Amino acid sequence: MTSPSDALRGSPGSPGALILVVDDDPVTRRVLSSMLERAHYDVMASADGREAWTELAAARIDLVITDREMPAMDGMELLRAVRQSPRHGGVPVVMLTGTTLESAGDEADAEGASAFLTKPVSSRELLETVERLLRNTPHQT
Amino acid sequence: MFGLLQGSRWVVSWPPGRPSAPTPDLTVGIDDSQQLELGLVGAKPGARLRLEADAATLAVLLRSERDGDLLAAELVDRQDEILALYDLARSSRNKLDLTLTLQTVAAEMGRLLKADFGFIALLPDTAQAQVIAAPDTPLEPGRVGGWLDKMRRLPKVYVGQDAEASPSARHDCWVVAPVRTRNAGVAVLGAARSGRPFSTPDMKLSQAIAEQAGALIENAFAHRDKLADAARNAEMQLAAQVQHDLLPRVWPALPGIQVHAAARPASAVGGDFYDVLPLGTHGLFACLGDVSGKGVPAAIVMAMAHAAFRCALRTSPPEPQWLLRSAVGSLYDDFVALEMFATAFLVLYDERTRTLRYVNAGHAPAIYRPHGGPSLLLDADEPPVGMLASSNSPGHVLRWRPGDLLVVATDGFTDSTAPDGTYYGVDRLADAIARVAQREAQVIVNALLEDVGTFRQGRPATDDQTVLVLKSPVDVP
Repeated sequence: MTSPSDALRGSPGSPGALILVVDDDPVTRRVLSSMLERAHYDVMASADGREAWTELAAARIDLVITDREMPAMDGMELLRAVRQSPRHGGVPVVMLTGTTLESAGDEADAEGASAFLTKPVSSRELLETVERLLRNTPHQT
Repeated sequence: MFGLLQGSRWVVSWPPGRPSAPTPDLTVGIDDSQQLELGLVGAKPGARLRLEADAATLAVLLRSERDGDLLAAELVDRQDEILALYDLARSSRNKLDLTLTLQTVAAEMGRLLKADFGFIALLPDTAQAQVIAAPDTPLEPGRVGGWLDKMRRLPKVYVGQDAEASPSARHDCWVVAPVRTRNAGVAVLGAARSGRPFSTPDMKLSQAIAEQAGALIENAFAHRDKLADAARNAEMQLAAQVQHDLLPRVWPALPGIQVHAAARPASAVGGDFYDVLPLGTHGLFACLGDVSGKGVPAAIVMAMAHAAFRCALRTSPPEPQWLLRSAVGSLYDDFVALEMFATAFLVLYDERTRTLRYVNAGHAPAIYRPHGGPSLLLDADEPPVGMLASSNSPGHVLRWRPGDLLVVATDGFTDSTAPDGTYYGVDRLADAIARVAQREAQVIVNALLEDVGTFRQGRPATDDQTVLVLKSPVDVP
């Protein structure tokens, strides 16, 4: 799902990275997108893992931020699919969750998540994580 | 072909993938959209009307989208603010030490405001100003003092890009917020950096952090006061123990006399004192005194008086008037300097002659009750110790017969009041003595303390209550 004004958002000084935000909650989706857009990233947004997988196939996504708990295809399933994909296996995936259970982080780590963040996440924490992961991963552009 | 143009450039078009699309035949502007237009190549009749309708719809969508963006941005700011305060609360949760709290608050202020440093300046009502910057940055005391003055006069958030007003000469952009506390005087919290002015959201965040900081500083002050109270209480308990240890715990026993005493201080320590010592194998010395004032000063003077009488016993002839004379000589100058005095009743018992010799330096009540009564008040014949430089009392002698009783109490007894304000008084004390006069000395002491306690009906004592009892058994051999 691409917002209507996505095509108009090109901004000077953009890091040039395209980030896919995946969350079934529209408010969270919008808030995360806003955080990233204010830091001049290009953002696409999807409401679940299945939709995100389609976007991944269609665009050159540099980083995925996905909620863990979602209908249809949840964040863990999406993560597994990305890691098993020859084309997208190296894309950094940030797993977001509302749970504070330590085991959730361990599971995401075991499945190959690049980072694990607990909601609510501050812009600083999100952007520091994104910048760090993108620094260590060459853009696909 | 239909699409969206910015200037003469096609931004997007249908069908897509036509970067070198031709110039449109018809264009309609989209309101409030940064010069975006809808364009059509190959326009048919009536196309303008349809294009205008599409442009109006797009304008509404773009406005909604822009509102949504603003709303999301505001949400991000508020969420960041809440999370920042949560971080501040979490990082300072276990810090009750004042300096650590100030360091944490200053560091968090700098971090959350993305400044080069954060600082806090605190000017308690009764102490020197304390200024902490994190990371450590040299601040100009005069400028920080100026901000404290300004906050005292008009507490609000100030922001600016002005090197002259900045707390640090090396940083031109600053934000300063008042920290409101109920117990810590005036305080300001600020942050500074170079070249990037602080914004309105930064001011709001500063205000929120300052309010949180105020609560943390209040807690740190309260904790410090609590520790000081605990230390004071521990010292008072120690002082009470020392004072208690000065009192006799062994009661000399002679065939012709029983002696016992007890004290109930109104607070941890008090100014009443008593002492009882054997004199060889045939006599004993007893005294009871009451130092003016209450609490620690009275307790210190009580210890001085106690030591002076003990010293007099070793160095003076064993007569009460000589002992008093010696103690007055030792204590007078100090008592005058301290503007304090002490009443004292001194008594010596001689088993060989069965006599009591006493001297009364301003003390009341001292009640002598011969066997069968009635009670007699033994009035003072000397002023309290500390009033005159010397004592000239000749002393008094009482024949000590079987069944006789001497009760010396402090005014904490007679001045005790019932809930209706009635004083316990000397008469009530004499009545209480009459009721238990046939009992043993220790029983009499306990009965008198209980009687005055019952009279107060649970009201706390306002003065120390001390009583000394000398009793001659009825069946003396």
